[in-house]
Amino acid sequence: MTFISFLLALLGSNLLCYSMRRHYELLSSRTLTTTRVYLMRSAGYACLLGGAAVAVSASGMGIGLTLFTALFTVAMLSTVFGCTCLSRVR
Amino acid sequence: MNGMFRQSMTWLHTWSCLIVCWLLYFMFITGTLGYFENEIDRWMTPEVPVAPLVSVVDSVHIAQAYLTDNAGDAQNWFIRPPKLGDREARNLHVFWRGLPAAEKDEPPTRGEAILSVSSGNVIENPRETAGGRVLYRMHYLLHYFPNRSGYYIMAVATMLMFIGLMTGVIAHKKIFRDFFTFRWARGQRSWLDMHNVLSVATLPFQFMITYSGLLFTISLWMPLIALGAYGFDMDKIRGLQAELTGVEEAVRSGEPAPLLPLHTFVQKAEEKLGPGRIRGVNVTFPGDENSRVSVLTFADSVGRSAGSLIYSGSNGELQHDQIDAKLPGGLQFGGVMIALHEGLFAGPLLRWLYFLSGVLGAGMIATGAIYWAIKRKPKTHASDVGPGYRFVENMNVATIAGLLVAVGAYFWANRLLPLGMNDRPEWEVHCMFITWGLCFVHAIVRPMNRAWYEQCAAVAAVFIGLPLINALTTDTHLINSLLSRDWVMAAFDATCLVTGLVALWVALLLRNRIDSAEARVLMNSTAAQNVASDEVQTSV
Repeated sequence: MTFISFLLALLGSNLLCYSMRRHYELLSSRTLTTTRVYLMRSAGYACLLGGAAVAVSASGMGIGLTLFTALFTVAMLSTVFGCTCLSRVR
Repeated sequence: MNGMFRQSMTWLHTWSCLIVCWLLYFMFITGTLGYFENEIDRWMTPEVPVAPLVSVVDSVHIAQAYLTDNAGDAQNWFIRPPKLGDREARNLHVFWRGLPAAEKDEPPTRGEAILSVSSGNVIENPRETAGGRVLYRMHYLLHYFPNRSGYYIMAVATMLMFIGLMTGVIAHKKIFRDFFTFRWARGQRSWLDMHNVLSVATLPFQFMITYSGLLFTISLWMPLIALGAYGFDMDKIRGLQAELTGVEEAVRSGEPAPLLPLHTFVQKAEEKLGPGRIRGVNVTFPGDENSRVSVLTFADSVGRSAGSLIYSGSNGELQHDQIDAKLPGGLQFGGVMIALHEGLFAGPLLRWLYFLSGVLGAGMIATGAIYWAIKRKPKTHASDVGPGYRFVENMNVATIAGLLVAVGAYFWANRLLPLGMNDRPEWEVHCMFITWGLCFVHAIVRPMNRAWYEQCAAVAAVFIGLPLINALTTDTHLINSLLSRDWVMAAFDATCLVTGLVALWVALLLRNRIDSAEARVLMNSTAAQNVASDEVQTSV
């Protein structure tokens, strides 16, 4: 369950990252429509909420939220540095 | 107004953090290591065998027999049974404290022992060590300072960190827009990005750890609240905790009465709480009519902090139930924050995440301090550097890299100091601080780029060398640990190796930068010489 929660956090943070025009354009060389921005952001937040819900259901409210916050930190940093590496490769 | 406010906050953020950043870095590194305090203890006492797992009831029975024979007239006993795969140590530890001496100058005697759970005999530890506990306690006692001064210094630093966090959030104009922005190899910009990313990513952790750190020192910050309620009656102020929790301090009656078998209290507690929740047993005034037995429990969640069941040691009656007791809202909130700070409820995975968050917090402080120096670096001549700037740069090198060398030296000292040496634990700590002092001297005498490179290389050498020195001096080397599935020892060696390799990578990056800077200087001087000789030939 922790792994699923982490995957959702990673997916959520990636979606939020790529919903930012600067990152999207840098990585895909295409422009991002406003509709797609909202869609990606909604999906990103939904993933984060889902990840938190999975962690809470597995470990209880207190430990679950603490665990998810820490997992989100790792996911976010992975996204940032992954994004940096990808943009350098391109 | 808005711009002015933000500018003021930026100023406050810069200076409130800069003046304590090195101390905060020290607190973060040593405090973060504290999440693995018992694992570090275990690595530092490789000769002590790991106890086979026995029930808490059996452990307490063995401990009582030992303590009755060896510390029967003590004021206090504490029994810590072994527990597998969790935060607690994996051996049966007993501690005791004697009655206060008649002359006030003499502190009460203290003792501790590790007991074999099979024979009940003391397990001799030939390698006396300060262990992980001293390293962890440094983050709030600062070791060489008297306790009270250490608390005050730490409290002020924590408050400044809290101010730094608040002002940092306000000062950062596009904190959520730049959530995921890190621009590599852009000099000053990259350092600011790195500082921002580390700060934003770990912001919940930083707020929690700093705010809860302040709660630990609440009586230092707000002494007037207790004084307002109790006046200057120090006895009443000391009784504040008792009034809040409803548990009065135990008082010795002087009438002897046999202490009931301690395992019966543990059985009662396990019937009430279920198995696996007993953390230890504390006995006050054993053998006295007013003896008190506290069965301490683990915090099994953030909201339910560690509590205890308190019994009369002479008649077995339950006196206080601190687990089901309804505490005032403020105390409950404080309990949750402190539980979050200590992370005692955390399993292995969450503890690693705590550790990582602590390391990232130290990274946040380090990148902020480096950014300050880079932003103010003179663009033209190195000789334009003022003493203040030079001081910050020296402190940055000696703290950010030097402290890591010093921590590594602490572990080296554990393996290299003679086993029978007097005050061996204290000398381990001295080795750490002597090494750190040498790093300061090194930072002062060497050119800055060289100092960074050499100290990073020293971190790499010290940490990569640790598994090797461990292999040379004990039987518990990495391969042995992996083969015998001793994950604590293996993880310690592996973590040292990873730390060393990361430091090596940084050192190589710095080496390349120094080489290319020197090549640039050489090319420029050669070009200047060529131009000069051309001019001479032309004039001739």
